[in-house]
Amino acid sequence: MSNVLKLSLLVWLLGSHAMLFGQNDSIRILPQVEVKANSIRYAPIGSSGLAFDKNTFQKLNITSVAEMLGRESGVFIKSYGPGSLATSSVRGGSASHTALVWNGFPIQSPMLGQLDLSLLPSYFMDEAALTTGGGSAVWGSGAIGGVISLRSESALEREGLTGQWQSSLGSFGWLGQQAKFQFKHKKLAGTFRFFHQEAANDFQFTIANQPKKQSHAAFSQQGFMQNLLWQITDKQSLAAHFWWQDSDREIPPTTTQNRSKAEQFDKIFRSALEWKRLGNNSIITAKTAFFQEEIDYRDSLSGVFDLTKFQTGIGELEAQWQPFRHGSLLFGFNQSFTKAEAEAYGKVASQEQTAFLTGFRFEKKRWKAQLDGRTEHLDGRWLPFIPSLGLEWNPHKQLIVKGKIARNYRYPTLNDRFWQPGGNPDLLPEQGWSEEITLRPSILSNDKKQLDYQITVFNRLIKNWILWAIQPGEIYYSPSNVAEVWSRGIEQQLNFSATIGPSILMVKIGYDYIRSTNQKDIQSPALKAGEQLIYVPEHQAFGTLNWHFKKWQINYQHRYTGPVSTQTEALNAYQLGYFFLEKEFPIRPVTARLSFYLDNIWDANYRVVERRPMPGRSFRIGLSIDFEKYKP
Amino acid sequence: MKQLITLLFAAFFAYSNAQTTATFENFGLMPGEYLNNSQPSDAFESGHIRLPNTFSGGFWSGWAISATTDTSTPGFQNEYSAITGEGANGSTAYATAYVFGHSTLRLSPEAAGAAVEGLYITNSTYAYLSMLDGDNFAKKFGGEDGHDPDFFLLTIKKYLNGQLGQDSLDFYLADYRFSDNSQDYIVDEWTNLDLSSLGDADSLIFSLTSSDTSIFGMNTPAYFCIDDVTTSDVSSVKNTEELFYNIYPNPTSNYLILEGKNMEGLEYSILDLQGKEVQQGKISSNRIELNNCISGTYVLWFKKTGQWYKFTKM
Repeated sequence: MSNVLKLSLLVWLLGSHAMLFGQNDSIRILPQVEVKANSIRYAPIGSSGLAFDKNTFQKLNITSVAEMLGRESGVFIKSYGPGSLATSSVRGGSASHTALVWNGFPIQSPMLGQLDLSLLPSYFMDEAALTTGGGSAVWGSGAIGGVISLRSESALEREGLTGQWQSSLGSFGWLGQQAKFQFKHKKLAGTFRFFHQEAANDFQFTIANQPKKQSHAAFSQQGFMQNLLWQITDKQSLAAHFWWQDSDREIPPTTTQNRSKAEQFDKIFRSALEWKRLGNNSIITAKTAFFQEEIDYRDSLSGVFDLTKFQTGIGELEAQWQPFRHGSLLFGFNQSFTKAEAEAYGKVASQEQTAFLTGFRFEKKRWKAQLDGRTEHLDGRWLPFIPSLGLEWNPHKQLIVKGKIARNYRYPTLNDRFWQPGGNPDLLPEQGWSEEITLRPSILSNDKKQLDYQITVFNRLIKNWILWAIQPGEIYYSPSNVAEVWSRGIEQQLNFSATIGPSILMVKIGYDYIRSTNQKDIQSPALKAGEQLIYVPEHQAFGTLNWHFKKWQINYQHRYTGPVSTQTEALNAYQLGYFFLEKEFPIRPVTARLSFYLDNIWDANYRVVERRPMPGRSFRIGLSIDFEKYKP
Repeated sequence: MKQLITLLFAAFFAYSNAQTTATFENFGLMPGEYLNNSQPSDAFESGHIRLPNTFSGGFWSGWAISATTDTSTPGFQNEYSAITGEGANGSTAYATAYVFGHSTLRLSPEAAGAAVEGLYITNSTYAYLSMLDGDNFAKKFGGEDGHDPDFFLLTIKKYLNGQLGQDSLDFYLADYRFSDNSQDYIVDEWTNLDLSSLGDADSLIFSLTSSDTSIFGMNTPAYFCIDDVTTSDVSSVKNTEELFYNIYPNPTSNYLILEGKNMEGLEYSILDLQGKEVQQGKISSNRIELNNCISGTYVLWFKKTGQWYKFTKM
């Protein structure tokens, strides 16, 4: 086993509770038989970000990736309300500037360039990480603000059978149920998950001190996922994943709308097959995926019925080789084909994409470096070469200095290109460069206490930024490469963990300052040079306190979001608190856990999106039952 | 300078002695029907007015002729209907404008140069219900608490001899600016508007403004409806056969479009305000390219007829 592998194993065994930065191993081997190997595409050198704790986001207080990101990171989640559309802004980027990767495949809609994060159940994820900053060299189009990497797998580590059932009831007609069954038998392992959640969302809010009640805001989501793993040999595995999901939701009226009858129905099917072979100094991966999604929007009031759907097929080959002790080389080839249907396209639109990627990682003593490059051929034309270079230096065992420079791009979406009227097939890709530098001193580190601080300064300029607007002389909205956006900021995190007798305390605090300004005077939409982009708060802060004491767990999350401008008006800053309490009861042969959750504990009257009311204080109670039976 | 002075005295005279009303019934529409495509003509003609229309790829702009009667369906799927459900004075047909920047009502040669006496005006169902109830893009007037001083304003100006008149006429299609909310209103009936105060005109320009705007422009649906446009007949016009009754755009980037009869071969000159000729030629189509003009104000002069038009090149 090479030193790199040994180091990786050590890192894995020690574990990293929150930060991604300690997890930069290229190959990880679990203590058990199963071989886990990650390519150097994950957690690239020089990047910063967060890895989320599975034991947190699979609890009953967090239901979606939107909630997970919106509470414990500097990601601004633009949520239209509970159960409604939620998109992200990372480092001052747009919703289309966050790449979402599930089991190594980008899953944002090729029609919209983004994904509704409220439709990503966190219970279906076993790993979740946010890598902030440009990642186009690794993940391609859209990885400008950051990359959210999600992984679902057959993760049972010992032979046996486990089961879990979780139910919760709460305010506004909330009902949540989720279950997970896992098995491992000889060389076969599998995980089956199910979830269902619904709510009437008939919450009260106030306008000019007058109580109002939200209407037509009910939603229902359900889905299941199957993950299978066949460990063909110690070094060879085949994994299959199937994810089906269905969402029905009413679109509530705005606060300046008397009524709404709009509804949206989403149907999602994602599947993936992955073969992996681990050699002495290599990892070879061949994988394929098929995605199919459908959005059916119906508004009987105004007679609008809009059905859109797409199918995407992806094939990818990746080889990672460690030709010498300190270096790893990566070569990858990705081919994808998308077919999309929308009445506004007039015909079936398609997109064919071929990508070649390469990477080189060097690690020696106090230095690490990674050079990545990507080039793509999309619908008959070559896109510019996209490189990135990351460096990491440990001048002292308690200090890490790292940085990254990267070129990034986003290709116009199918809607940008083909929507009629307005779509423009000749749009240019958005592109630009980003730079960042991070200092991470480890202030305190011993067996019982750990205190880390991290500060990142970043800078990014994106040209040809695409905006839809009605241009002078036109009668309909159309996209154009009209804006140039300069984003820069400072991100800070403080992580503290301590073992005090039988209890474990974890505290995480973060603060982000982000300026993201359009650099040109634009007539339509009306944007002045130097103005902060709409829905990009300059100030965001979050804090989390997690305390485990014997069979008790207490979690408090707090978030401050600064004021934002919107399309029509400015929205005030707001602070939100979330409280979660759980008690475990071992009742052989099962383990039961009772939980109590308070959302918006301080009953803040706030808005994330203009004219969209948000609920005040609400609660949920939950029961979780776990069953485990392992082979002796 | 001498030429310019000559031009300044070369205005033509017209007088009127009768009126014609454009009722839009000449299109023969039945209740529920509409026309959003005037092709092969570039405008719908009724009485002595022309309402420009463009239709391309299934999308229209400018004006449509409508006899739709739906007063209850919100949204753009019901974009042709007037909130009255019928034309003015119980008639079937009316005209609906979809305004981007402004909409133009041009007077035919029989009425150009004389005053427009008046017209009937009301809200479209789309705009009315949007202001009353709100929609996904636009607010209900009065806002969340009913006290917002909202308004939806139609402004009418005129062109005469290629020059935009200084006077304008405002008509509030909705007005929520009253301190007493019970006085707030959205127009839901045909309202007779006297336009004679604008004086003689070749064309009228309609523009819409609303209190509900965003960085993308006006949120309130940019529609309104008119009917029974009464124009004054011009009984004696100098050189009627040679009269240009519309020249546009003004201001322009690099060309002028001429609308009229017997234009072919007519000599023209373009003079700057010092009277210096910067371009001359003969008309071979309905378009004059402004090849020799830099940015500024010019006069287009037809020597044979003595007609002149002032325009600005951007």
